[in-house]
Parts: sequence; structure tokens; C-alpha cells
Amino acid sequence: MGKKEDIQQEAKLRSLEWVTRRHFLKDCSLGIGAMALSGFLGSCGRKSAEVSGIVPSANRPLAARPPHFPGKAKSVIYLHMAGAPSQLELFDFKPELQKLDGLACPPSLLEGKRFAFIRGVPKMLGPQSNFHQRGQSGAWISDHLPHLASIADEVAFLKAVHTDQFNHAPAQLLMQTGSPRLGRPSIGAWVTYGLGSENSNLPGFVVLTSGGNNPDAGKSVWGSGFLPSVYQGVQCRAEGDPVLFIKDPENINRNIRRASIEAINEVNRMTYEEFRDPETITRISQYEMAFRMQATVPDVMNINDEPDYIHQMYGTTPGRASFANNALLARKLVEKGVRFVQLFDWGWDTHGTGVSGSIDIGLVNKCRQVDKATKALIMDLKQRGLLEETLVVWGGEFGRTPMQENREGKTNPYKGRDHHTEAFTIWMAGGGVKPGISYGETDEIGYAAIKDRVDVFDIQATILDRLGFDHEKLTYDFQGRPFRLTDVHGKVIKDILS
Amino acid sequence: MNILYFFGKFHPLLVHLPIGILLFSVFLWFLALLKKTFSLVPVIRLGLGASAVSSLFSVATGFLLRANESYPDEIINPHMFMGIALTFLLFFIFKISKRLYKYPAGRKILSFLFILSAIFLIITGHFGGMLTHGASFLVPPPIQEWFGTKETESFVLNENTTVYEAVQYVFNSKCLSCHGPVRQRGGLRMDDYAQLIKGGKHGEVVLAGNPQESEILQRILLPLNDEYHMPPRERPQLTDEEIKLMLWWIEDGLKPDENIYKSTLPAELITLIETMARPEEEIINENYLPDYQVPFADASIIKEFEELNVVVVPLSVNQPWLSVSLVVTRQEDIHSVLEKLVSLKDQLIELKIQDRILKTEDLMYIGKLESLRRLYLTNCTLNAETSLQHISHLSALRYLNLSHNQLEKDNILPFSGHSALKNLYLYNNNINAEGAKALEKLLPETKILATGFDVPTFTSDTTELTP
Repeated sequence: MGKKEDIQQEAKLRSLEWVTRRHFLKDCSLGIGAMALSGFLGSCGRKSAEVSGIVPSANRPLAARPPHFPGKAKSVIYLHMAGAPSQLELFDFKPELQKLDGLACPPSLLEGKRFAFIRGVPKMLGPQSNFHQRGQSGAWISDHLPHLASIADEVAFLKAVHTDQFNHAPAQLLMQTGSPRLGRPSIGAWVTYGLGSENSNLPGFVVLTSGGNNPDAGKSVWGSGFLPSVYQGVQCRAEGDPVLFIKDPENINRNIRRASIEAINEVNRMTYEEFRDPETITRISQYEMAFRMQATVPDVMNINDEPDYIHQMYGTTPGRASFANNALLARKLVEKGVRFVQLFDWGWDTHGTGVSGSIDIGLVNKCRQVDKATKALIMDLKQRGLLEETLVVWGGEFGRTPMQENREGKTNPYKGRDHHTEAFTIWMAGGGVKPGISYGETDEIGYAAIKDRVDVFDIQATILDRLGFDHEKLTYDFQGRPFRLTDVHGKVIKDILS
Repeated sequence: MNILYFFGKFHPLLVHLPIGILLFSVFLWFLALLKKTFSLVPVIRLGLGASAVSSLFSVATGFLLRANESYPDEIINPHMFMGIALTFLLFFIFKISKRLYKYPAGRKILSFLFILSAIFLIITGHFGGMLTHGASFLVPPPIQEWFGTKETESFVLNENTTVYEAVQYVFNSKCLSCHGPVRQRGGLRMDDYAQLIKGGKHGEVVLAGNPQESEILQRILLPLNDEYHMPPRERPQLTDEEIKLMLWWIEDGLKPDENIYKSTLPAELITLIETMARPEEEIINENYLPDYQVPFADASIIKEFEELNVVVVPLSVNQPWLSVSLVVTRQEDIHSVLEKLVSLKDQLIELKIQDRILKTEDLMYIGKLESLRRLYLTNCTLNAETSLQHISHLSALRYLNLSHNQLEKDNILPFSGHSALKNLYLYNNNINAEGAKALEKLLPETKILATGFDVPTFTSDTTELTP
């Protein structure tokens, strides 16, 4: 019963402005009856978006808005290591696996399982790195990440994360949008929809990529799905102009640009008056934001003016696209009030099919590219008093197998591991997360998460919780039902909250 | 389920017929009196008759419902008697109104009877509402607090907490709406130890030391779509841990006063109890929000600030506390904005200004914002000449960020002895490690961060491993 009314209500919203006086007179008797009915049945139904308190204003979709409860974090920096780093070489130390190195994988681990590339019976592969316990907390971190190892006490490790997608694109989509298929809004889009933007001169949600490629799932991992597109991530480039064509063309000055944008917006406003399509509002505010961004973005995205000691801290080289540059930009953006900064670093897919994709060489080089800058980001936020209100998340889209990959039944030229859904590690630091803890355990060979398991939705729920959202109430009506990031899943990981 | 019970379930629906028709008839009667249009009387009598007949049906279905459900006598009895009385009254008014309205005295009697019937109706409806929605449904929140009728009490954890208290907390959140003080389905009441042990109308539900035979666990462990599964499918279900806790408590012998820390309760269940005891608000609150109440700020004032590019946002929905950000405010407006912000001083607990020039007179206005808990004045040209004593008396301050200015150690001295300040950030000022140490002595409650961190560069950071 409720569903039908929801669809009707959504259809009404969509076609609100098509209603003329005559339509109104014709429909109103039915409408009032439906209103009374919905009130009468109110107790049976769900709570509407209004109840959840998130009602973006139609004219200013990016205006700052309050969350459900005061959040511990004001911003999120999500460092997504696209391709999936190997937890077995970095965080999940399994001496037992070393003993099994080179032995055939027991059938019990393969029965009824599917892998992306492993066929037949693969061999077990012991850890290809040296582990030590670090800091007061005694977290296990390998020598591949010496910088992170020195700040182990700042970080909360989730060591029993699992997912249900074993290919990059769907797994990245699941991690970032809550669905392995296209069409859902990304976490950053949900957050921007919920919080708006503190700094109207900058986008609320910025995306920076490094590693030479965009993530496998394409731009949908920072898309807005069915949310108005004003909430999608704005991708800034690390080389050249941060946003293409951001400079005014030659002989066009600021005033002429202003006048032309005003004229375009006037036409758009007339169109909106007629059709009330929220996408028109999006268009207007994007023009306005673009105009303001022309002045502010080049400034924020310029790391040349940062002092030398900051460059040394991050290991940045201005003008060269790198994870380090992006990490520094992320700090600058958060400092200026951007709510969600999403970094994707490509190249962590270590199957062992080539040198760069090998566990013993390629992975080490990837670690070297991000390790120092990651520590620098955390310590830089900390010294500026921003770490306590910025949540930093680091992780890939799934884990890697304790077995050595045997693509098409043959041994790969280098050491490598296949995609693995049942256990991997993600860490969080800052904004309302307990520092210096390890949560969750895997079995003795790191095959499956066995204690304090968390799934992708739990991570999403926790991120939203830290920002002040009840993930079950941050909803948007679409196709006749309210949607949320975590769909019907997700439990806030209370044990890691501070 | 028998067919009579099925019809009984229509009671809550049917009762609205006499309510609506009667109230409308009463309204028409007084309208007729006022306008002296007694031609309305047949309509009024039609309404009376209809409400009388429909309340007869209501009473009948009410009996059926009562026979099949258990409600507390102290509510169901007055509801029933008033309902029956109302039905009789309606038939009576219907009967006598045929002629009585023609005489002035008769009209007075009828007016009295109409008012009486409305009163009966309200009383009946009130008790009925208590049955369906609970006693505190229509009591405004402040009164609920005065009378202590809040439905679920939160659960406090200390060294004396008993296992039973934790079990009771699970009952309170998952069972009491049907087995509590308002309703006792199956005659079972679970808000009280003695009542719980006594059981329901079919006997005991918990057997000390025998969880397998305890009906409560049997019912909980039935498949979700089983007719006898508890809690009913559409209600919040118990979590696995909660079931384990209940099982442990029954196995342990239903002890009412066993301390959780002295018992042999497994560690995972102690963790469960500890998480249950920590209500959400408390986690968030810790020093962050004031523990007193203030009125909401005027929306029109907030609107004015918007026009000045000042971002004013509540800390959360339904909270009066405000966070104000001046990150996009024009420099020339800063002074007048700060002057205006004094009107929000009760609600304003967070203020952020960065990359703007602030002068001493600006700080004087900030100093008037006495509810401030978090204050960011970063990169605001504060220097050795700036006297921070204008803001050092802000006694509620928890967080103060003065990074990226040219302050010296002596500028901070006015804050000496500030007892609320937890974090003071002085990064990128003219204060060195020694100065920070000296300040820490003067501010023993405060964590001071004046110098930055260094990240060393290893050779491996700039070299690539090759095969």
C-alpha cells in the first residue's frame, strides 16, 4: 500500500509544475482524500525525507545543512588504493602461511569458491615481506610501509573486512556507492547531499587520481547516481589547469564572463519556472560555482606556494601528477572547507603477471609512492588541529588470496596473488576513530575473516556516522522508494569509535 | 485465530464512525441554535441515529477484541463502561430530541445532553488511545519528564551492574510494547522481575537452569515466519548476542542480583553489555554540546547572515546550537558581521575564521560570544601586538586553533589557568618547543601543539626496486 503512494507522491513531485488551475480543481478532491489517507495510515508507513531533516533547498542545493546529530568529523579524505593492495604483505601477518609456502592449496579452501583468475589447484604463498609489531598498540605492519609503521598509534586497523565482489569495477562501485552495479550515488555525493558545502567557492566533493589511470569502474565511483548531479564529485587534474578550460579565453575579461553567465542563468531560470526540473537548478548553480571557482580553484590547487618544508614532508614535486601531490591537495582542500576528498591511486593489482604487478617488486614500489605522503597527510592534519575533525580512510576494494595466482592453470612469471573477497584490511584515522587499535581477526592463514567481521556497508555506515548521519535516515526518494547508501545493510562499527 | 477475533480487530477502525458523526451532529446542533434554523434538526437526528447505531457496532466489536486480547483492567474497564454509557446516551438523545427541540427549556436540556455526550466520547477515546498508543502518547515532552513517564529508561553501567539489569534492558527495548505496563499479551508482563518469573496465562516462561524448556527462548528461536515466533516478525528482532545473554542468564539460574564482573559471563557478552550501556548521545556529547537549553535563534537573523556570505548552520537538526563559518565572507564585511554575531551569542558554539585580517576590536566582539566552545582564528594576522585577553575569558572554550599567525609565547599568557580548554593549536607561530613547554605549565589542563612534525625521507622513498 505504502509503495504505491510513494510512487504517486514522487510522480507528483516530478510533475508539480505541469499542474494548471484546471488540473488542480479536477485532482484536488482525490488529492485531499489521499492526504487524509496517508495521514491516517501514517503510523504504518515509513518516515519521509522531511522527518530525516535533510531537505536541500531547491535554489541553493549546495547550501550548508546540519546533519542528524553533531558529527565528530567535518570532512573525509578517502584514500582508495585502486587494484587492491595485498593485506598479507602489509598488515595481516600470517607466520602459519609461511610454513605452507609452496604446498598445494587444500581442496577445502577451493570447493564452491570462485576466483577471478585462479584455476585448478594453486600453491600457497607465504608472506613476501618482513613484519614487526609497531608502537604502543603493537599493530603488525610490514617493512614495506616504514612511515606508516611509525604512526601505528594514530590508526585504527579493520583487519576483517569482507566484500562479495571479486572484480575491480564492481568491487570499487560497491565500496564507493553501495552497489556493484552502476547507478547509485557515491559516498561523497551522499555526504554532499546531506551536508552541502561550507565553502561556496569550492565544490563540496573533489576527486583526485594518481597512478596513471582512473579507477577501473570509471567516473561512476564518484558519480551522483540518481541524486541531482550537483552532488557529484568534481575531478581536478594534478597537472596543467586543475579543471580543463578554467581560464577565461583570451580577450574575455572577468566582467564579460560574468555578464554572459548571468544571461545564461536568466534563461535557465525561466526554463526552471516553466518545467521545475531540478537539473536546471543544478545547471544554474554549476555555472555560478564555476565562475567563483575560476578565481579560487587555481589558487587552492596550486601547491607551488607551499613552503619547502611541507614539500619535503610530503615528498611532492609540483607539476608532476603524483599521489603525494594529491595528498597535499587533499589537506589544502579540507582546510578550505571541502567536505569530501576522494583520492584514487591506481596500480595495486598485483597478480604476478609482470614486474609492476608483482607482490615482491611492484607492490613495494607502490608502497614507496604513497607511504611517506600518507604519513605526511596525517601528521600535517594533526599539526594544524584538523585531524580530530577529519576522517582519513585508506584501503582497496578487496583483498588478495593466500594462494599464489596460477592464471589459466600455469604459474605466473612473478609472485602474485589473485583477488580475494573474504578478508582484507582497511584503516581509518582521525575524526572520531579510536587511534591505535586493531579490530577483527582472520584465520591463521589469512583466508577468511573470523572475528569482528565488517562488510563494506559497515564501513560506509561508520563514515556517515562520524559525519553525524544515521545511515538509515539519509535517504532519497527514487522510483517509488527511499534509497540509502547502505541499502538494507550496514552497522556502525561502534568498537572503533572514540 | 477465530473468526470472532478477526471481527474484533475492526474495533479501532469502527470507533471512528460514531466519533466523527457525533461531533458533526453536536456542531450542527449548536449551529442551529445560533442561527435559529431548526430545519436542521432532522439532519442532526439522522446523525444521532447513525452514531448510535455505529457505536453499537463499536461496542460489539470491542467485546470481541477484549475477549481475545489482554489489556490492563484499569484502562479497559473505564473504556468499556464509558463506551456503553455513550451508546445508551446517544439512543436516549435520539429518542427525546424528536419533540424536545421545539421548547426553549427542551433546547437547554438537549444542549446539556449533547455536551455530555461529547465529554463521554472524549473520555472513552482517551482510554482507547492509551490502549493503542501507550499512556504517554499525547503528553508533551516536558510533562513526560516531570512525571517520569518516559518509556525506555537508559541503562547505566557501573561496577554494580547486574546481569539481570542488562537482560531487563533487552526486554525493555524489544518486548515491553506488548508485555509491559500498558499491554500484557498472553498475560505476560516483563517489566518486573517477579511478574516475569510468574509467567503468563499459559504458565512459566523462564525456567531456572533450563533454557531448552523455557518458552521465552523457544519462541525467540522459532523461525522468523513461524506464527509463534517472538518478537513478531514486523517488530525489531533480538540480536544473536542478546539471545546468548538471555540464554546465559536462564542457565545461570535467573539470578536477580549477580554482578556482571563477578559472574562467569563470557567476555563477548560483557562487551555487549558495555556497548548497550553507552547511549549514542553520550558518545557524541562528551564536552561538545552544552548541557543546558537555549531557545532557537531567529530564522530571520540567520537569513541576514546568509546575505553577507556567512555560513550559519546548526550543529545538527533539531538543535539550537550553531556553527558559524566566515571562510567566504568578504574582508570588508568581517567587522560588521562579528558585531552582528553577538545577537547569536547564546546559540553560537563554534566559529571559524581563516585567511582574514583581524584587529583588536574584532577580537572584542568575539570575546562577547561567551558560549563558544570551538574557535578557529587561523591565518588571521594575529601578532605580538594583538592582545588575546579579549578572548581569553571565554570560559566554555574547548578547542582553540590559532595556527598560522605571528603570535609569541607572551600573547598566550592571558589564557593561564583556563580549565576548560582541552586543545590549543599554535602551529606556525613564533613559539618554539621551549615556549610551548612553558605554556603547558601555565595551562595544565590543555594539550598544546606549537611545533610541527617532521617526516624523514628514506632513500627508499625516492628509489624504485627493480628485478
